[in-house]
Amino acid sequence: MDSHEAHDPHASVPPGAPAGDLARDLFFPEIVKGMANTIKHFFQPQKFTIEYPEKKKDIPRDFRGEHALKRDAQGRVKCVACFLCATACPSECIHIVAGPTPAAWTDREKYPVKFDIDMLRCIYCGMCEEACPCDAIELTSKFYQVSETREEKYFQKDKLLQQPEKREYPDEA
Amino acid sequence: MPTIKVNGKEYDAPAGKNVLQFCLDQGLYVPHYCYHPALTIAGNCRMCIVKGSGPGLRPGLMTSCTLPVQDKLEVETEAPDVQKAREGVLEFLLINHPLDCPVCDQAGECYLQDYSFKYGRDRSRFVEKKVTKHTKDVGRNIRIWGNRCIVCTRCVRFCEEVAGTGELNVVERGDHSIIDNFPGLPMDNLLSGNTADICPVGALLDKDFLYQARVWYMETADSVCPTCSVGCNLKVDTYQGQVKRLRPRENQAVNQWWLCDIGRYNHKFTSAPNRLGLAKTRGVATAATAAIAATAVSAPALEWERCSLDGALARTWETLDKFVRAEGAGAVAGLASAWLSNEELFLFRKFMKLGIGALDLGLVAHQDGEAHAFKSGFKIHADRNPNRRGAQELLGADAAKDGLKRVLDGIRAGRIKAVLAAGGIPGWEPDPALLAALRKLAFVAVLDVAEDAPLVSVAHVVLPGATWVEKDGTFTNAQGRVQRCQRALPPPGVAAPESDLLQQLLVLAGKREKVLSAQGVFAELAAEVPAFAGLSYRDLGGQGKCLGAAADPAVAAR
Ligand code: SF4
Ligand code: SF4
Ligand code: SF4
Ligand code: SF4
Ligand code: FES
Repeated sequence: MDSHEAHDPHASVPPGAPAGDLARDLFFPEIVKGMANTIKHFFQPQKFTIEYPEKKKDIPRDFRGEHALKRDAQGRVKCVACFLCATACPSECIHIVAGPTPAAWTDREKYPVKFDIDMLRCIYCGMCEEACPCDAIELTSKFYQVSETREEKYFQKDKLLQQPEKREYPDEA
Repeated sequence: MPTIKVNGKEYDAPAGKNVLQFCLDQGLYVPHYCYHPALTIAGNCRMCIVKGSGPGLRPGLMTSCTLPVQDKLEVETEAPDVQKAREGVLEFLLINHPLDCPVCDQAGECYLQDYSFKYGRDRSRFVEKKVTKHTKDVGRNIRIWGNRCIVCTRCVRFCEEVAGTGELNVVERGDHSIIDNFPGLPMDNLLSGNTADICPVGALLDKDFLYQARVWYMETADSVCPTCSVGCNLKVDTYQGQVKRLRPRENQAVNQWWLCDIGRYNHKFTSAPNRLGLAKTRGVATAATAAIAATAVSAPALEWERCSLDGALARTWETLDKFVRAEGAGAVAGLASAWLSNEELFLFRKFMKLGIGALDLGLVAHQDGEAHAFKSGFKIHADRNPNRRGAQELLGADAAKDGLKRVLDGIRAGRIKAVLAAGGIPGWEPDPALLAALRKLAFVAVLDVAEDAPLVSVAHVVLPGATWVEKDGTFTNAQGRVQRCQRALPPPGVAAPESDLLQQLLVLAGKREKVLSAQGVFAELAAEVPAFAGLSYRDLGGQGKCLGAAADPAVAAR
C-alpha cells in the first residue's frame, strides 16, 4: 500500500481494521450502548433544565444583555458624548447628538442631547462598554427582549437611563 | 548652493532657509508646534529638535526651525537622543495638560495627541496637582480652553502679523502663562476663525463648530468660497448630510493659508429649512399660446401646485416656446446670477440663444459688501459674488454690464413678456424695481435654492437648484483664476445642479442629446469660448488656472 492510499479519506473502512465485521458495520452494538447511557441519565435525580419563565437562571457576571446608561452621584447622565462607543461599535448602531451641558452643570461642558441605540442592529459585543472612558454605558444582565414593534427596539436616552444597572457581584465590591 | 546632510543623505539647500522647512519640503517630517510658514519664527515649543553639527556650530540638539541652512551642515532627525528629547518635550507639555480628549473637539486632528501617540511615553511621572487656567471667549467666534494651551504663540503672532490687529497676548509667567486678550480688545477681526485652525491643540476652538461632530466622522470635499470674488480655496467638511464647517485650503496665489470669517460662516443656507426640494408651478398648466399674454395673471395672485421636476421642466420649455412662437424671440429674456458656475453660465447662454433665440440676457448679482484688507495682504473684496468674472466672459461683457437694465426696460416697455431666471443668491436683496417689473410678467421661470427667495415670489415655475456644495463645477475669481468646486453633498429632494436642469431644457429644446457632467460641459466650454481656450477640467487641479495662458505664469513658463 502506498502512503497515498493509506490516507484515503473516502475509504469506508479505516486502514488496518479487520474487514467484514457485520455487527460493527451496522453500528448496532454502539446504538445499544448509547441508549443505555441515555436511559441511565433519564432516571438520575439531578435536572439540567429549568422551568423558565417561572424560574430564572443565575446570569453569569460577564453576560452581555441590553444596555444601560449610568448616572453619576447627582443622578445626571454620566456620558460626556465623546462618541468613542459609537466609534468602536462594529454595527454602527449608536447615534449620539452632542451639545453643551445645561448651565447648572458647572463641572462638565459636553453631554448627549440624544443618545439612541438601535437594538435591532446591536450584536451585543460589548465594545461600547470597553471603549467608554467614563464608565457611562454598560451591558446589563437583561436578556428578555421581546417587543411588538421595531420602534420599541430603538432605545433612546430616557429608556437607556431607566434600565436596571448591572447586578453587583460580591467579588466586585 | 550650500550642501547639507540630512540623516546621512546630501542635499543642495538654499542658504538661510530654516532647516525645519527644508526638511518638510523634502518630505522628511519633523514634528513641530510653534513654527508656521506664514508667521515669524518663535522657537518656543522645542518640538522640532534635531541633532546638528557643522562649521562654527556647537554640535548637539538644536531646534531646526531656528537653524538656518549653511554649508556642510549635518542634521539628524531621528537619532536616539533626538527621540529622547522629543519624548521629554512631550512629557513636559503634558504636565499641566488636562487630557480632555474625549470631550475636546480637536481630538482626531490634534498635534499633541498625534505626537504623544507617535513620539511620547505612555504614562506620566508627575503626581503634582495640575495648574488650571481660564476658559473664556476671546472673540465673537472663538473660545479658549486655557488648560489645553501649549503656549506656542501661533495665535498671538497671527493676530499681530497676518490680521494686523494684535488682540491676543501671553499673560502671566512660567507654567501659569496663558493667552488672553489685551484688556477691552476682543478678537473680533475678520480673520479670527483662522486662529482655531492654526492652534495645534484644542485650546482655541470655533464656537460655531463646537460639539457639532467628531472630526473623524466628517467627509471632506475640496471647494472654493462663494462669498466674494477672491475665491478662497477651502475644504467643505460634512457630517450626516450637512455642512459642519469650512476650512481654508492652501493656495499661495489666492488666499495663502487663510479664510475670512464672512466666508467661513456663510454655509448655513445650504441646510436651512427653507431649501427648495420640490418643483412647483402656478397658473401655467392650461395656458394656451396667445391667451397667456392676454389673460396673464401675475404670479403672486396664484396658488402653488406641486409638480414633478420633469413636468416643471417640460412646462418651462413649452411655455417659453409658446411665447417665442406667439410674440417672437424678443419676448423672452434671461437673467443669470453671478453665483452660477462657469458651466452653468455657459449652458444658460446656450439655452437662451440656441433654444429660445432670446436677444436680452442680464446678470443679477449680490449687493456689494464692505471691502477689507489686512496686514499680510489678505483681502476681502466688496464684490460678494463668486463668479462675476466668469459671467463677464460667458454671458458677454456687455450683457454682464448693461443686460439687466435692458431687460428691465424691455419689461417696462411691454416688449419682454417672459423671463427665465437662474441661480439662487443666498441673502440677496434685489433692487425692488426688478421685482416689481418681474411681478407684472405673464411668465417667470426660476431656478433657485430657497423657498422664500425673492425670485420665487414672482415665479410661475420654480425649479429647485443646488447650492455650491451640492455641485461640481468651476468658478472664475476676480483675478481670472478658474477654480474647481467639488460636490460635497447631494441636493435636497429632487433638486439638481443648475447645470443638469439647463441641460435638460436644452434636451427638451432639441439642442442636445444628453446631460453631461461638469467635466464634459467644461470641455465644451473650453472649445467654444476663447477666454477659456487651452484649459481642461483635469488640469485645473486643486489650485486652479488663470484665464488666458499669458496671464498665468505657470502656463507661460511651459
Ligand atoms: S454591544 Fe456592540 S454592537 Fe451593541 S451597541 Fe455596543 S458596540 Fe455596538
Ligand atoms: S463612550 Fe461613554 S462617555 Fe463616550 S459617548 Fe459613549 S457612553 Fe458616552
Ligand atoms: S488638546 Fe489634544 S491632547 Fe489635549 S485634550 Fe484636546 S485632543 Fe486631547
Ligand atoms: S491658544 Fe493655541 S495657538 Fe495660541 S498659544 Fe495656545 S496652543 Fe498656541
Ligand atoms: S517649531 Fe521649532 S521650536 Fe517650535
